[in-house]
Amino acid sequence: MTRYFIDTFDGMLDVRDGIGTEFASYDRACAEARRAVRDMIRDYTDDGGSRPISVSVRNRDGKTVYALRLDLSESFDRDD
Amino acid sequence: MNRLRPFIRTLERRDRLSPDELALLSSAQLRVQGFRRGQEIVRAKTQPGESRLMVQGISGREMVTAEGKRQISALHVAGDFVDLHSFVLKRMDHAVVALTEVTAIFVPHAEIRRIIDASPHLGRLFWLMTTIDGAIQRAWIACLGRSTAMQHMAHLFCELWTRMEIVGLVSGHSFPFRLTQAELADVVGLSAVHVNRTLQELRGLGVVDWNGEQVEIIDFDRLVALGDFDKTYLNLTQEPR
Repeated sequence: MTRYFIDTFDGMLDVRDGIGTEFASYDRACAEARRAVRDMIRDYTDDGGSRPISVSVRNRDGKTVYALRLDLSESFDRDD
Repeated sequence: MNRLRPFIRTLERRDRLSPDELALLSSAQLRVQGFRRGQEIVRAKTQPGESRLMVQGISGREMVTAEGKRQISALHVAGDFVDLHSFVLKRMDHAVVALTEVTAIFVPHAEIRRIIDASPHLGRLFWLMTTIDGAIQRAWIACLGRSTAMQHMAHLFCELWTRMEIVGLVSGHSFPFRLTQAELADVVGLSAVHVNRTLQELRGLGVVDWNGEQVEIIDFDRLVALGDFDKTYLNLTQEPR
């Protein structure tokens, strides 16, 4: 088991993981980070403008060992 | 009789019980067992000869995928039968696990049959309880399929407070909830990371706070609105059934 720290940012709320979680492997930690992004996208609501959704995994030494970033951009050309 | 008290409270919230019916319930031959956190209360693929009734703690109905992903499809608190349906289903397709320390009563199926034969009214109330389990499942499916994380968690906290209030486990707007965030994530079908984010948002809004031991609902009306919680499905009216 290895402890990893997963930080997330959705353009609004920046959450830095100060506690960490024990994962069976590096790959499991990356999978959890991907699921977090999927969940954040699912909750994405139109609030105008563009924003990044990002997640990163840090190890015990504070080194970023995995990162995933999605840049959302919505375009509107209203015709109603 | 004392150990049956939470169950009797869940029945009495929905209908009146006669002294004869109370005596019949308390005449049942019961066995009490304690479970440690993580222990299985009901094992999958077994054919239980007894149904288990929660006296203390929280248990979860769990389904685990081939890759090891877990979905907790129901939570049970004091007063809930975890597998009343095993009486008619015979074979269990899933397990029920203790998520905290749990005390449960084992009610032999022969005793359930005896009670139903002696009192068709109690039989209907047992039926009602499995029907309410079904109603809760429908509410959970709607949350899993159509809610944001915040709506889902708000709904869950409202439901748990309401269910625990029936059996006297709440204190004001607080209720005991000694699960881990990973376990809560398995309940709401989300990553633990997103559950943590959502809890922080709920706390930031001043609506609800959870310290790992108990959930404190700070603004009940707002939580109800956020979760679009309508308690009709819990059937909390006392009427002839």
